[in-house]
Amino acid sequence: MPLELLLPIVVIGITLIVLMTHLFGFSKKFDISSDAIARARWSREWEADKIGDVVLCENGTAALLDTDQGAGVLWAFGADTTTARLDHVDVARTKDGLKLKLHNFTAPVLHLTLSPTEADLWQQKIEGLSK
Amino acid sequence: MTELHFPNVIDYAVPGFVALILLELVWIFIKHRGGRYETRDALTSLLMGAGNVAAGIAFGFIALGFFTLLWKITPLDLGSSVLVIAICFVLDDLRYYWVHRFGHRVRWVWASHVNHHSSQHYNLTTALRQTWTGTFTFMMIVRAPLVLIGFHPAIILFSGGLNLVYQFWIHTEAIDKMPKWFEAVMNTPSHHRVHHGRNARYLDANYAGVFIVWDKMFGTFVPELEEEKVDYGLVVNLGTFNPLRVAFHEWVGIFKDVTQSGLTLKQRFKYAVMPPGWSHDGSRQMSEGIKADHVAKNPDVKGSPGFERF
Repeated sequence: MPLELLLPIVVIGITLIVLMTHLFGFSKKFDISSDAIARARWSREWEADKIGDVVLCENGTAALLDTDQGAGVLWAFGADTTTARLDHVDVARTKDGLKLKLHNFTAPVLHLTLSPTEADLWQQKIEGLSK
Repeated sequence: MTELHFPNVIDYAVPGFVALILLELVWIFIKHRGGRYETRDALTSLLMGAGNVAAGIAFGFIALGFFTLLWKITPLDLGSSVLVIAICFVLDDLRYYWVHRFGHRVRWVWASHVNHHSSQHYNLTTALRQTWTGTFTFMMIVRAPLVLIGFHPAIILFSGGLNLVYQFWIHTEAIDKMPKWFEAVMNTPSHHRVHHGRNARYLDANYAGVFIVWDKMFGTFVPELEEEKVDYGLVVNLGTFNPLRVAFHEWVGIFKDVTQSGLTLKQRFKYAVMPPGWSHDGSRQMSEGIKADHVAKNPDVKGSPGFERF
């Protein structure tokens, strides 16, 4: 098929699919709304971990977990979740919460939207648990 | 030398791909079942697909040049009858099985293939989430015997294109099971859902392209179980929708591992070619370790599909 025909089909096709996916409501983020959900979603990736304390983010987009393998963060990743261990993390305050530099090519930076009180608590815990 | 020309079937299938994706999307929206879509995930998959086509245009000459060279060397020419094309299709599917198996068991090849498994969703856009770096796995070498025994490169590439177009429709949760006779011989949505599973049970199974018989023959077949729903994605999922990071992350991982200080040459080489999860100090897990740990934690699954060797 000539490129002059293929390229517009690809561009229009991608645009249409993405637009319709969004309009159908499929952009909704995963809601980490409970301790049980956070534990289940962490265990989904790290089955062998024993989980201690869990701190949920008020807006349901992230959770901080203390495990026998060290601290970790679970966050909403589109309609799913993903995780990162916090064994090598740099934490910085931002006007909306915290920025975690994860030193991970597949998840380089995580921006957490937290209230000032939450941000204080999270920063303290992350810096304490990551030592 | 015979000059043969076949259409690039993948290019001609693109409008069909778009139409079927829209159909699946609308079906899921209306029926509230049959799979999940997520906007950024779908966009990433589609951009990976577009990039795959672009990479084919940019680097396709390398494989084509290699096959043309082999065609010049071989004294054999099986011709281009319908029977020859059919036999080539079957043998090329056998080739696909082994390349796909290498793609999961040799990190250098996994680095190209991992992209395809990186979505936590399983829908027709996932089918298009394809590698940008396939040429650099050098898996074209596995096709060399087909050229040398007399199949024209154009026929081989045509067969390969048909193979990939067949695999598009099996990337869906909207189809449960096909009729038993079909499931017995062909690759199907059910069989391929297992392949995309990150469940310990479903790791490293069902490598087939078109014919599932290869997995049954070589001992890598695992059926989809009603009692264990497939969980899609990687053992450790990505935290990015950025297609550049998706495309290159495992290559970056290999580079970091191979160049770390204090390793022997053999260890550096092993980081590139051992199965994903291998580490020189045992700090990571390959799929065998994941399965063994899962059986230790859940002894009732010992010996069941996917855990036969544990």
